[in-house]
Amino acid sequence: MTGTAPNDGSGDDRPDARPDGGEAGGDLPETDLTVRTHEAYPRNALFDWLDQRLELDHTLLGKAFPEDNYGSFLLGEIALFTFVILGLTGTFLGLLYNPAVNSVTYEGNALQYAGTEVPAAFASVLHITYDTTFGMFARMMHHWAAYLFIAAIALHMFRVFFTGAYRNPHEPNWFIGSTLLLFALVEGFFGYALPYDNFSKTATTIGFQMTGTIPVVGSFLQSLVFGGAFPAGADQVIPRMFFLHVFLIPAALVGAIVLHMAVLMRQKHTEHAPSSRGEGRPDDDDDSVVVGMPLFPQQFLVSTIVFLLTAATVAFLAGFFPVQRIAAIGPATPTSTPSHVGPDWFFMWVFGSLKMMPSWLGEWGRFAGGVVVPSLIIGVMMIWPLLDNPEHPVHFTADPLDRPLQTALGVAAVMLIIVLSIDGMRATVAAVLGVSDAVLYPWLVALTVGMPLFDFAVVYWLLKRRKRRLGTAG
Amino acid sequence: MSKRTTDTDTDTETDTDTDAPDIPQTDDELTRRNMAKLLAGIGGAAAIGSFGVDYAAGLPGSLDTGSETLYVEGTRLVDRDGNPLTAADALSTDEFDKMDVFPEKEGGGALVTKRATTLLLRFPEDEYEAPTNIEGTAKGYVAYSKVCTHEGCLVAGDQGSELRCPCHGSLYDPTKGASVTGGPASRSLPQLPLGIADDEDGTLLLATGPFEGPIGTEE
Repeated sequence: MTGTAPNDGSGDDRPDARPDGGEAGGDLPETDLTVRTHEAYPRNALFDWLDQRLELDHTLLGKAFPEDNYGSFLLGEIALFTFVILGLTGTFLGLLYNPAVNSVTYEGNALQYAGTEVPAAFASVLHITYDTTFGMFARMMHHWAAYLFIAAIALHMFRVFFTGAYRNPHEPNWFIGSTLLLFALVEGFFGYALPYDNFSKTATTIGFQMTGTIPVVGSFLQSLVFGGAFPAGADQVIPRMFFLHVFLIPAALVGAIVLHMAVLMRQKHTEHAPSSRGEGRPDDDDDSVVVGMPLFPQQFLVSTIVFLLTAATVAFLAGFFPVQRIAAIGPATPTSTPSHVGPDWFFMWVFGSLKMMPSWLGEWGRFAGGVVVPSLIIGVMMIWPLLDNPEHPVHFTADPLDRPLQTALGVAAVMLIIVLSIDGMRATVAAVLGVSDAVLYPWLVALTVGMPLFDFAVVYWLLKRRKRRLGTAG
Repeated sequence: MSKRTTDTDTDTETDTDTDAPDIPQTDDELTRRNMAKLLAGIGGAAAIGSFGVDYAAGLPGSLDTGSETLYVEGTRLVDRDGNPLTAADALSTDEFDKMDVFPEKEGGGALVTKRATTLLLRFPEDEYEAPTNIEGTAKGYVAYSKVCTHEGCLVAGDQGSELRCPCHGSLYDPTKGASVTGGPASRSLPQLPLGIADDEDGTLLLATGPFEGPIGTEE
């Protein structure tokens, strides 16, 4: 991108005053970017008609978007676009899916099951996958888009965390965003249940059992969320999961996304000063204005490219790397659990936390591993801006290297999730290393406790030393 | 800041351009505010309470699955297709051999449900140790519930002669009463006491009582 605009007013070149910043900043150096933009993209009649009525130019199309040399500010957009893909592919799948568990005779192309009795939900997913044009592609795109949705949200949160973009006055969007992540995880759990294959039966059983371990309200929550026992009452649970997955949680997600973006529009983004300030721009420390490129045409083009790349990536992965191959897994059976069962990667850390709890903790171990540990991790994440909150508003991103404590904590938290995920794959790890589970267990316990602490200490020490060397230590 | 200045019941208000921050509010106003809070509270409680309808109405799928009778004294053990099992040829003692068995329904056929799924194993009779209920073994056969006591998955047997749960790796030793030897589970798999039928051929496997403990995560 060569075109960079001084703030958002492509119409009148006025700097955009922050809602909390008092006076709009001083005179912004005039650039001819707006003029050039108008010459390059001459107005047409429709645009003018809309513009005169909706003031597109001033309020919407001029919205300043962050300039960032590293592209990390685009991660949120990737999350948004994967959500769009999820909505599109999900609509396709939802029209063909049948949320019922009664046995039906599958008659279709999947030879392995042709003529056999399988649950209706499983049969309908077989039909989608093997008997519907583009059906398998749509299913795989949906699954991969879900993976990327959660991955993009997580990476977006890393960016926000490590650059301190959650700080005053941006706490609300951290709260909304982490709620969004929670909704996305819940949505993933419900969606996983729907094909009613033997993996989804297992995962839903474990989710049901975990909910039941919560003291006092456990069985209330079980009935609220599942609407019946699982798997015994699967005929009640699966339709409920379907409703939650295609209506309630998506509605909550849309609401949270709208709120997230409304707050962003109102507050403006945090700027990465090295990317957005410089020659002919306001000073690096002038936070009375926000500098960025306008939505139209610059950011529009960038976002279009991001959308197309996201769609291409999802399509590529869906085309070449099939996931959740239900024909290979088989339908839900009451009498067996597949030998290499495991959750999607974004639940692997919860799976690991459940696995690591020692036997002597008894019932409390189930509660601790399945509910307390995940809730603590997610809870600390959600309220983090309350724990680390500067008194005065900050409008610029920080360099992670300048924040030893926060950066070290962030690295340790990421490491904790990684080692818990490794714990979740314990059987695979044991097989790869050629040792038994029992031999591996104490090492994994040490790793789970030690690695985050070790990483915290090393990162903290290195960054402190760097600060001292640069003579900025406080 | 405003205060009531008339004694009519209209809400006439006037600005009182004083900067004293603590103009006493009339009781009326406090009452009205409290009333609004009360109504908001009732509304909120009703909204939350409405989620409890499911709960109050009872669960369609019933969270309580523990009432179903599985085995009583004399229930025959059958395979998935409902064929009765004979002690002579169901399993051999040579290797770690096991199979899924089920209680026979009244009038024949197998009761194939998750809770009813039973793991039948056979070892040489002198291999059993406490806390196995030796009385409950028959000709080297022993039977346990297949439902893991950790999170309710179904155990398998791919870890040597131990029973392993594929979900979270709990291990049970079937020669020691299926007690936990590894992983997060805290209770052993309940044993099903076995016997040999006393009828004419005297070879059919049957249960001599119900499971000796709660199945899976049931209390």
